[in-house]
Amino acid sequence: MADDRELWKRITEGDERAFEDFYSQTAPRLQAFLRHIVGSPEAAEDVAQETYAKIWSRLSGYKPEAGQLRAYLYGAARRQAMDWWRKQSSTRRASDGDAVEDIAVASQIEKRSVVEDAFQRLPAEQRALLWLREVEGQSYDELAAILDIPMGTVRSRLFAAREALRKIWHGERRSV
Amino acid sequence: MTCNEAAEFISALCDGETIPREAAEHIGICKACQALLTEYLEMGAELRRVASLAAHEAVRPLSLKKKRGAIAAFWQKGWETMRIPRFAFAILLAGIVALGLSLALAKVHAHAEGNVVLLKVAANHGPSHPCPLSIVDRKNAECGRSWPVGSGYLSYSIRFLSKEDNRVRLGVRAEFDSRGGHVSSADGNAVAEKQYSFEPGETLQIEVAGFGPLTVTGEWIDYMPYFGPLDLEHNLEPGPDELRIISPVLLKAKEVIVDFGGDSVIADQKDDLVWLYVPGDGLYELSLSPLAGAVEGHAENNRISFQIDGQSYVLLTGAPIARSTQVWILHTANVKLANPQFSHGAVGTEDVNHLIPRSKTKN
Repeated sequence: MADDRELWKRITEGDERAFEDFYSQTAPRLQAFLRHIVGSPEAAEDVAQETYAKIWSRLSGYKPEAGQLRAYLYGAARRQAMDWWRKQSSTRRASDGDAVEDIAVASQIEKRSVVEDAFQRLPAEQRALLWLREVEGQSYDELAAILDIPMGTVRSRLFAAREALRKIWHGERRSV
Repeated sequence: MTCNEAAEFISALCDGETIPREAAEHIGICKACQALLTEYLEMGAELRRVASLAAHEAVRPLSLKKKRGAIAAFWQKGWETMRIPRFAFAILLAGIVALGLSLALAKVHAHAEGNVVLLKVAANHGPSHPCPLSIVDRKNAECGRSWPVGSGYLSYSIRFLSKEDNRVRLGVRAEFDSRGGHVSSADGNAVAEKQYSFEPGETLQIEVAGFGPLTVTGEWIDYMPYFGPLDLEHNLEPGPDELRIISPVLLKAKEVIVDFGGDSVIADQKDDLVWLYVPGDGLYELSLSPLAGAVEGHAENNRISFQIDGQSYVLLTGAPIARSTQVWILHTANVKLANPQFSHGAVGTEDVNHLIPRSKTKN
């Protein structure tokens, strides 16, 4: 977004229309990202709404000089998604955590590609990383900001995530 | 360059990153690496295809839970028309907030109740030992300690049983053995458990036959505290004669044979031994000096690798182990420690032959 500063200026002035424009431009892709992190369309909608509400209630959180608005949005969404996971796991026994994720994943879209199936079996952090890189095209420094990790580890984490996906994918292709 | 070394750079290539010349040369001539690159690219393309299908789905209308409305406008107007210096107003506001917070904190402290009851157990007016018990996590619902007192050996274990209002029911086993070592009866039977009702804030006296009372006090806290031997005053680098075994896990032929559950120990005197007891497998004694009959292991950062009878072992710990890379390991199989507290494994530094009773099982 080349005009992040202008858009954000309008938003911080309390221009709700500007914020709604920002929402309508970014929400579909953000929700698709969240759907792959939290595992269900309903939860993704809820987390997305909470993310935008939080940004709106704390407009001082974004500093245009610190980076792109899109990176800030995805970082906030990722943290909100992690909070959602923590709340989910706190309502169930810790040992059931994987099963909860499996159930959420299993309730996903019926017809999915083999890669998407494999993707859903990755840990949430790896799903977020790969999605943001491959689909959203976030740069390494944006990924570092979104995921709160050092810039130097982005490359190795992406490699680890790709390898994990490839191994699962291979296993699934063999079983198809 | 090998394929393994090049693999991370193949991933970086997919991201449009530049890579070192050697990696680029290797990937250019290596069919396996090129196949990996193709696979990574295929996976990315497939994810983007999936995303394209979903990107046009409708989203629900924006619902902002906290809209900036009349209150924000009120603040903005007030700020703009303020008749006292703004910094004075800010200080006044900060003071009100601080006062409010301190009142809130005082209230929280007065009624604080967490999920952990932190007991402090003292013997003979000596220093108290912390004993945290979680009331929600069974793994952390028991604590215990055995240590030499005078010429004998004092042991206790306390477990959380239930909670009634602000009181907890505790199961306590405690024993003193004046002969210097026994922490359970010689035939291996555990000391009988006695139950006590205890409310944090009270003082509980637990009578130990042949010794006197153990004094237990306690408070509620809302986290499981760390009371390991490596506290903030310790440098991560071990001292010259230190042998640090922090939260160890022992692997044999790449399989975990025992996880000591966070138990830790530090030997800081030259020639001190550290022992690890593995139920069913015996005793491992570790030393920075050669021991008769011991094998030499290689210590590097937080692991010691060694071989016994052709089997490879790795002891993994949570912190650097020693300055020396040489550690000697003496394994004595068929040793059984009688104390039921050791039934899941134990670590220690005392002279194991003298202080810890053990009976060799018959082959």
